Parts: sequence; structure tokens; C-alpha cells
Amino acid sequence: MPILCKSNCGNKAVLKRPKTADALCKECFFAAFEAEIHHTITSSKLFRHGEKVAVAASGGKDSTVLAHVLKLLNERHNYGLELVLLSIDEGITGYRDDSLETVKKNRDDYEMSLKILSYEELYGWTMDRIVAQIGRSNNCTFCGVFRRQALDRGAKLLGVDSIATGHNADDIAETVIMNILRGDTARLSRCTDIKTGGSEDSIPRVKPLKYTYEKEIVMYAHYKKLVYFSTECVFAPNAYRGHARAFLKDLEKVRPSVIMDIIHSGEQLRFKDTVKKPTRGICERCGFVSSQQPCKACVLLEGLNRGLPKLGIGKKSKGDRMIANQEKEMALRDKANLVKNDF
Amino acid sequence: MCSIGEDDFGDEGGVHSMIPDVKTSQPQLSIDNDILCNKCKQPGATYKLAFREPECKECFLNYVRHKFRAALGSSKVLPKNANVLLVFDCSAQSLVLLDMLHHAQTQNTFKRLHCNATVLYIDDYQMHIDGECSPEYEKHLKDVQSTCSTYEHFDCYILPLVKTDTVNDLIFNLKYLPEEYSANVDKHKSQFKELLNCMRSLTSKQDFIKHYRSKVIGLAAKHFQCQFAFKADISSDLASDLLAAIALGRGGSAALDVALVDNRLDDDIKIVRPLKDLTEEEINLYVIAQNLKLLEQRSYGSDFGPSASLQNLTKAFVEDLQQNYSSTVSTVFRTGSKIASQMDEKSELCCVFCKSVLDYKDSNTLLAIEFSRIVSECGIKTEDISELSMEAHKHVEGDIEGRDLTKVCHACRNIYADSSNKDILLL
Repeated sequence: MPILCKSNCGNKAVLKRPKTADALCKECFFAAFEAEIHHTITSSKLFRHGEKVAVAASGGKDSTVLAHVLKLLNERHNYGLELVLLSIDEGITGYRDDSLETVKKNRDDYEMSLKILSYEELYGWTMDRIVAQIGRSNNCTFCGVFRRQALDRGAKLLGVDSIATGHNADDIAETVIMNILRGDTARLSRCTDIKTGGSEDSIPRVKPLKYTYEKEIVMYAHYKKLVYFSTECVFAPNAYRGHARAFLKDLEKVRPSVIMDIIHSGEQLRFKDTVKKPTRGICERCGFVSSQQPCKACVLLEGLNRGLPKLGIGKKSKGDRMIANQEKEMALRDKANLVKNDF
Repeated sequence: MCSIGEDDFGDEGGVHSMIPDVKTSQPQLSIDNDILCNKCKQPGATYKLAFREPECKECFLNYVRHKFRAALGSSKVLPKNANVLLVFDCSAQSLVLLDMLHHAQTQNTFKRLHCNATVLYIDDYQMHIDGECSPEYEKHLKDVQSTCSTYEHFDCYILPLVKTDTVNDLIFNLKYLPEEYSANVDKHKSQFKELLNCMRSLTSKQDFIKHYRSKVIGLAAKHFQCQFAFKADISSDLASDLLAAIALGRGGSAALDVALVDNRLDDDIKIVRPLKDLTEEEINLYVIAQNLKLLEQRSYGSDFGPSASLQNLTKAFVEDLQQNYSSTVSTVFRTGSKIASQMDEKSELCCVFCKSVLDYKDSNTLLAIEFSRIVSECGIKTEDISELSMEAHKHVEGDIEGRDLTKVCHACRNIYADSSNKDILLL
């Protein structure tokens, strides 16, 4: 006997919602999925009427669904938002070049303007060249730090009021676990925030998919026949994060509600007054938001340009020593040239 | 978009530098008696801990005992001549705690730990036996009796973990254990098992037992007029407890699950964890050094495999990660020590079952959970979102199916939802 949709609409159920274990038909699933995101947006007051919002688009499932749903809800509930797509081209051959094609397709499908900013034009380096310099051990650090700033630069360029990212509930739960495993209290205290930044000198970032399960995003994209790019970054695999991800998936098998429970736990954590909190300021060199001077992006870039790619990795004192040694060597070389010229 | 390495999400070099340890064979007990102890320079440095130089038995024992004394001393938690209930659970660490406390009390006046300790064995072994108590159980009781009898300094008692509101009639001195004890346990056991069977998942059962156990400790401490209850949790236990608490949605009270002092119990009774800084390796070496006889310990559900519950899975995950990343336990444990408890504002705003501060007020996440449940039932007929939101809000506030859950925290509501006995939390 076929299982009927939980909502008593009379249709046959085609899926079991991973989040609530309810059997739903396709149409009711769409309605529930969209209503939940709408509820998240309104209850957390993510946007204001008339705002311009950049959707951080990578061509992956999360950002594709986010762009689709935001457009749909914007029209359905009259948010009055101007939505634009913002993509970052890290310069990773065989990954980003292909995924950007998907973003271009999204641009056409959703009739949104698209701005692509590349690492090459912003920093003079592509990730391919960075990996060739530093190898594969710390490449994600460069990519992540540069991307964060690139999104800020893009948002400033487009004059948007906020950036919407496709981080889903699984991403946030995984980050809570990761930050506990690494003892990173600063990030632990803010990784569950649905809205970050937003002080007078920074553009806020919002996560409308904060309470949306990854599995449901995949189901939604599948049943809606949305075009997305699903290849993992060629440089991404990292053993330690893989452990946390696998752990979360195992937990989810035992109790599907665990993802929301972990987010709830993360939100309830309070830290002792003795725990050092980072203070957000502005980088003196580039003028973008940073909790240190100069910002991490500037240090990493300086390292690449000086031929000292490990400069921004590890302790600052180690980096300072590296610079001092290099300058000493340069001075010696200059001195040697001087002597030679005298002859 | 890939979120690795972004400021809020990933790291700035941290996680990618977390590479598995290079395996080095490090014998815990060397057989070479000629090595000099790094501390006292005498031969016989047979005790070797990771990150420490080899040392002799006496220096090793001084080192671990100091950790125990320092935990109590630096926090000044224990007033002079306080009454202490030592909770014994047959684990290696509780044997070590018993031995250390015994040693601390038999020192000369200057070094003696001035407190009056009573030992209590909470007998949960019987829960693992189906039907009437067996010869296996009788043997276990004899073993516990014989272990406790070696510490003459203490009065040792036994209390079965059963459904009860009062413990006065159930506590017996281990020295004079009446013959009808097993039969008495049989009588109460089935009731408690019935209670456990009301819950569908092992996760809920283990969570329930953990907090019920705390309640029983509180009742027993009150019975013996003890203001403090010592538990033998060590750093690896606390690391998995912290992660399990996070997975269960107990983030608000996780700090107290791993802190030196847990003040959630009624009547101002405090649970103290003086071994919290000890590692598993130190416990194992201490057992060898003191030639302690290990007892069989069973914890409920641990033999069902790692994927049977969130708690089993978390324990297996931490143990597994510790194999390759030796700083796992200490990092998680240190993270726990940075979390503040919310009990300062202790009032009637506590959960009736676990006694943690209620955590549902103004929680958008819980609102999203309840909204999901409601909107799934409406499906395509979803029209007025604000009405559904109001309904979800009522559920978050504890008005569920006409039941008043206003004094139950989120994680305990999960136990409630998993149970067919709707009075389970109001024991």
C-alpha cells in the first residue's frame, strides 16, 4: 500500500524528510522547504525592504538552491530585494572554470546580474600558481582567507547591503564540532550566528539556509531539476575535516535531529570572561575588516610576493624572523654588489 | 561555495596543520632497571609517560597524586573536615580515586587531606542481568566487597540503581551486606527496566540513566549529610562527555558536565571531579604501580556497538581520533574548561529532570525545529506563516499536546518525545 503524504493532501508520498522523518509528496515538500526558509528570513530579520543583496554563488548545490529560493520568495512575499550573483574565480583549473559555467547558467535562468572577481585581478595570483609555490599542505588557508576578502571587495564594488551565503545546517554543526576539536573559542562563539559583521565598516553576511539540512537541499535541487555543479575542489581533501564530517554523518544516522541539536548547543555556549576575544578592526594596509594588523590576506600576499609563502602560516614571530633574515640577506647582497662596483 | 578556510568557518592555518602523529613506539613500562630516575636520580626509572622523562615508582606516584591534590587545593573547593561521598563505579579510575583518597587520609598531619569520606557503590551491574540475580552477580558483589574491605579507613556502602524517591531503605553497609540484598534488588529492578524500555532509543536511555544517576548521588549525599560527592571522571571521559553533551543539545549545561565542580544538585550538594586532569595512561600506570585489582565494569549500552547511540559513537570517535592525533583529548578538555556555566543565575528556571538552566527562551533554532514539524503537517496547504510561527512558538515555550513542559530543557524534551511514558521526567 502506498504511503500517503503526511499533510493529508491525498497525494502519494515520494520522500521522507530527513529533518522531521515525515513522508511528503513532492509539492508539499517544496511548500514546507520554502516556508521554512521564509520563516528563517523573517524571524531573524535578515533583510529589509529595498535592500540590494549579493548571493555568493559558486555553482554548487547550496548556492544554486539559495539563489533559486531567494528569487522565488522575493517575488512571492514581496521582500523588495534586488538580488545579484557574486562569484569568486580562485583560478583552479578543472574546478572553478567549470563551476563558473554553471553560475552563468544560473544568471540566465534567474535573470540576475553576475559579477565575477578573480584572485588573479585582485591579488595577482591564481590558486594554481599558489599551490605550485606552497604545495598542498596549507593551500586551503590561502584560498579561504583570500575568498573572504574577495567577497567583501566584490560586495563593496557592487554596493550591496548584505551578502547571502549558502552555508547550511550541516556546515554549521560540522563547524561547531571542528572548533571544539581545535579549541578555537573565538570562532566557536560566532560560527552559529545567522548574521555576522554589519558594523559600520563591514558588510553583513547572512545565512538563510542555516536551518536547512544538506540532504533536503539535495532533494530540492533534484526534484526541481536545478542545474548545479557537484565536483569537489581538486585541492580540498583534508583528513582532519573529513573525520569531523564523517562523525556528523554517523551521528545523523543515529538521530537525525542531531544537526539542529548541535547548532542549539553551539548557540547556548558561553565563554568565561578570562577567554580572550578577538577585536575586529580595519587592516591598515588594505582597509578591509580584520582582527589583526595587518590582516591575514595582506600577510599571505606579502609572503607570496616575497617568495616566502610560509610567512602567514603559523606564529607571527616566526614570520617576523623570516622577514628579518630575508632583509639581512638582501642587505648583504647589496653590500657585495657595492664592493664589486668599486672595482 | 567552499567554506574551508573562511574566517567564520574554517581556519587560518590551524586545521591544515593538524596532521596525524608520527607513530613512535613508547613503552609505558620499561624493563630496564638501570635507567636513572629523572627526578631523584636513583636507578629504577621504569615509569615512562608520553612527554615526560622516565621516573621511578615513587616519583611517578608523587606526580599523579599531586595532580589529584592540586585539583582540590588550587580551587579551594573543599573546606576542612568536609563530609565527602566518594562515588565508586568499579572503573579503574574510581579504584585510583579510592586509593588516592585513602593515601591522602593516611598521611602525616601536615600532608593529610582533612575530610570525612564515605564510599558509595552505585550498583548498576544488576541492570545487565536479565531475570533473577545470578551467581555471576553474587561473585561481582563479593569482588566489590573484597576491594572495599582493603580500605579500612572508609565506611563503604552499596545502593542499587533502581526507581526510587528515597534511598534510606536501599543503602547497605558493604561489610554487613544482608543476604536478602539480591532479592530486594530483584524486586525493584523490573520497575526500573520497565522505565528504560519506555524509551525507544539507546541514546535517550543512556542520557536518562546519566542524569538519574546524578539524582541518586544527590539523594545518597543528603542521606550521609555530605556536601560533596567525588566522581572519578578523567580527561578522556570528560572530552567525550563534552562532545556528547553538544550532540544531545545540552550546550547550555555542557560546562558543568566537565567542570571540577558541578553545582546542579539540590540541597547545595556539589559533584567534584578531582581526577579531571589525569589521563588514561596515568590511570593505567597507577593501577600497575599500586598493584590494584581491577573489577569488571559494565556501563549500560556500551556493548551494543559504537553506532547504537550518540554517546557510544562519540566515545568511539574520540578514542579513534586520539590514536592519530594525540592532542585530541587535551584540546577538547581544554575547550570545555573555557566554557562558562549558566548556573550563576540559579533559580526556579531549572529543568525538573537534569537541573540545568532552561535553554529554550528566545531560541530561534528551537523555533525552527518546531516550525519544521508543524509545516510538514500543513504541506501545500501552508497559508498563514505567522499563524504557524505562533503555534511553533507555543511549542518552544513548552505547551505541547496540552502538556506543561515549561520546566523541561530542550535535551530532556528529546527524552520525553522518545518515551511512551509521559511521566518519565517527573520521577
